[in-house]
Amino acid sequence: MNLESCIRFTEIFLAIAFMQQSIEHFSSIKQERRLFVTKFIYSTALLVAALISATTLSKWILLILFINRLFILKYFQGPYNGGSDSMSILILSVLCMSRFSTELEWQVYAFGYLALQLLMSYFIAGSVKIMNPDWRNGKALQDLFEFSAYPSSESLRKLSSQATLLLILSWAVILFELLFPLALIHQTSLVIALLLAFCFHLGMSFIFGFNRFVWTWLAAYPAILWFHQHYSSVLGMIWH
Amino acid sequence: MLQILKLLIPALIPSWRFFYEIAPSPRIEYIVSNGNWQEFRPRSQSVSVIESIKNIFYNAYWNEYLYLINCAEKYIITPSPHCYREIKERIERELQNSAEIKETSKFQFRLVFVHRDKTELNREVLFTSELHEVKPK
Repeated sequence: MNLESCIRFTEIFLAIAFMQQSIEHFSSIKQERRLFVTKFIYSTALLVAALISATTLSKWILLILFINRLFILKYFQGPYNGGSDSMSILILSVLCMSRFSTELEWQVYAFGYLALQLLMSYFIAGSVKIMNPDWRNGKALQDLFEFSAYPSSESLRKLSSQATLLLILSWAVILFELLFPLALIHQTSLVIALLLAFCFHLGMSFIFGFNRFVWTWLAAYPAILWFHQHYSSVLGMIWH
Repeated sequence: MLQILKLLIPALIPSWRFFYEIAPSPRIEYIVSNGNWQEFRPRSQSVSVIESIKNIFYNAYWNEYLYLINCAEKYIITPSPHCYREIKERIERELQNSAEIKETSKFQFRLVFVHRDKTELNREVLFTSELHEVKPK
């Protein structure tokens, strides 16, 4: 995947993620709805521009979406949906920087940064969990199901009594997140890791209702695929 | 401008410390006139597979609930008029659309935090709002 294809795929997936987010606000109050109808219209325009490779048009649409995103940040006084908002703002900023930069070097830096942030999103999440004894003995996951605000139904709370299952799940999550950077060893391992990561986000959507993470993280995957290809020789030297 | 930068920077340099600890968990409860306290948007008993698949594409109701939970957490740490207004107005809007309100009534909300104390779960009311008026639509 060359950098231009990576930028286009990122635009396509981010446009879809933004359209999905926007639709969820269509029945809100007028002021909020206005912000998200604007976002939906320009996200649709971005999708079309990316599909027909209209790069100059994409550039200006991305700028409008960035300004719209600032208004949304101000409206909610921060992110509306935690980590998924952070990731979508990061991807949008990287796309803006890439499209407005005339130097290839800066586009490489921007997408390199996004790829590293994607790696960190798994690795740091795993690092903080393994350092917490409650995660290592399965208690944290037990608490998450028993009394946190996140399980999307009451029946899921019953899982808190399945101590062995939760211990296995805790370690599965910790190891997957911690070992994610090792997937860069080979393109096949990276594709498998991304498929697993996508399934992980689908699972989180089923259990905790975190549906926006599915679409937003998907939009960051082209960056890591490009990063692997771009730096495969350097990465190969590190691993061997 | 400075305020927007303050909101933007954490998104550009995120911390990614998802669930590093399971903190006391907020619940938003409300009471109308002389009724009983009840949980705002109690979760459903179960969610079917079809519903879960649909939720991947559209989960507005749940995401708004998660946003309000976040507002409740932020309000307890640093009370701000924004978080208070968001919780109050979204409860008010839901009450206006419900059959619960037939005439102009008063409502109040409170923030309850559930946490584990050794082996038991404890509920603690950390904030109770003032009375607000709600009119039927």
